[in-house]
Amino acid sequence: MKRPTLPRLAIGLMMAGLVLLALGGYLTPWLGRAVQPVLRVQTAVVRYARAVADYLAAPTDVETLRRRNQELEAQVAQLQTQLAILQQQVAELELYAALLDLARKHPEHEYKTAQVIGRDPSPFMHYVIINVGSDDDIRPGMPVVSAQGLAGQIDAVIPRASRVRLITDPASKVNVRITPANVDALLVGSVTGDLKLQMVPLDAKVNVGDLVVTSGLGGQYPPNLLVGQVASTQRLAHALFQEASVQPATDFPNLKVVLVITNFRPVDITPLIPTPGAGGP
Amino acid sequence: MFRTFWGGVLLFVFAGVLQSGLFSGWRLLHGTPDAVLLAWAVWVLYETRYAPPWAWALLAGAVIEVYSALPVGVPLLGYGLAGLVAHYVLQRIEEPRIPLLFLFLWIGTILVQGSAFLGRWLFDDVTASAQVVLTQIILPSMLLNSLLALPFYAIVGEWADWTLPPRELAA
Repeated sequence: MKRPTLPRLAIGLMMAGLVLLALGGYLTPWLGRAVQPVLRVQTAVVRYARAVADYLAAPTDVETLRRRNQELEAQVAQLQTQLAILQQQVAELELYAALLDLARKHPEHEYKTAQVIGRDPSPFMHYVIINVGSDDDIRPGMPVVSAQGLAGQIDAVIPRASRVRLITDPASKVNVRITPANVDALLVGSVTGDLKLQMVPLDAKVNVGDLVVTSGLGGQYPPNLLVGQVASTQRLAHALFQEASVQPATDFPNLKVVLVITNFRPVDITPLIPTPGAGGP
Repeated sequence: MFRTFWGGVLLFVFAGVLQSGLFSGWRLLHGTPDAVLLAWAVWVLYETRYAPPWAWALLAGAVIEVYSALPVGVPLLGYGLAGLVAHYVLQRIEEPRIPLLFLFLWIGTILVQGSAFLGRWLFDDVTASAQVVLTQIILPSMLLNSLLALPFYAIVGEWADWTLPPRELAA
């Protein structure tokens, strides 16, 4: 067996000393400092390697993202369309619910629902065209109501459509009653679509906000259909009657769906009205 | 000739549908545009060989007659008068078309709306102050018709190009 020489023994002792120092934790700061440059180099290498890998893989990712974006955009468009349809359906449901509510308030009437499909071409005529006609047992003179109140009266009928004269038409005259004053009056339209109350007695206490409903007099409309509210009153000096303007309950510019009261037949009382010169027996 | 006639008929019927279903709801104060008048005013700038402007105007008036509750004959009167004015003007001036279009529209609006009000006054006992009728209905209608004149000129012009025989377009 070869005996260790002095240098070898010294080296062995140094190594053993270093190991003992390392195990004792005395070399940790030195080791940390020694490893730091290596770690920096390793970090830089990894960073650049990843950048190169990302660059090489980028076309695939962009294509994937683009496809995903298109899918999402298509999905958004589809959902927006669905949302618009649902909103429209909700609006229609609300409208039909209001019409149903009106029908429940007046169970004595029979109704036929109709859509407004046109308006009179002339601005002087306040008429609308609805999509029910004589095939649906619609007859001239039948009252037409909206979800809010009275709208007008059937004027002309063809098999699949009817023309409705709105109460805002200047030739329209409706016998009404003002509540709570309990006064009868005549509601007339105008070329501008404004509603006016005529023949209101001077001593009647009519206030802004009073309700105007059909009176049933004259036989043209059934009683107690809401027409609107008194918006203003006017008393002219030396006038025989006072006048009032009425805010209609029905939203005429946006009239879309109406109900035709089918079990009401208007009465023509013209022959019963005495004319001047017609002598009795 | 057959194609020219039916081109005009289809144009006015479609304009009537548009007027009743769409344009009557476009209100400025109480005036509305008149799609049939607009279609007629452009059409007579392209077509006067097959029929004179007053004849096309009567056809346009007949379409309104079907749609409107105006007293019978009133739309024919209004459009017919507008047609006579256009006939008189076109015998003397044929170009330029755009100023003529606006002239026909303004005169046509006054005559058509004026006859409508006259008809209602005579037959339905409808009264209104002339100021209200002029400022709230006729002038706003005239403005709306003027705003729609150029779009109609482009669309009806295309229709005329497609419908009318080439020799008529050469005019």
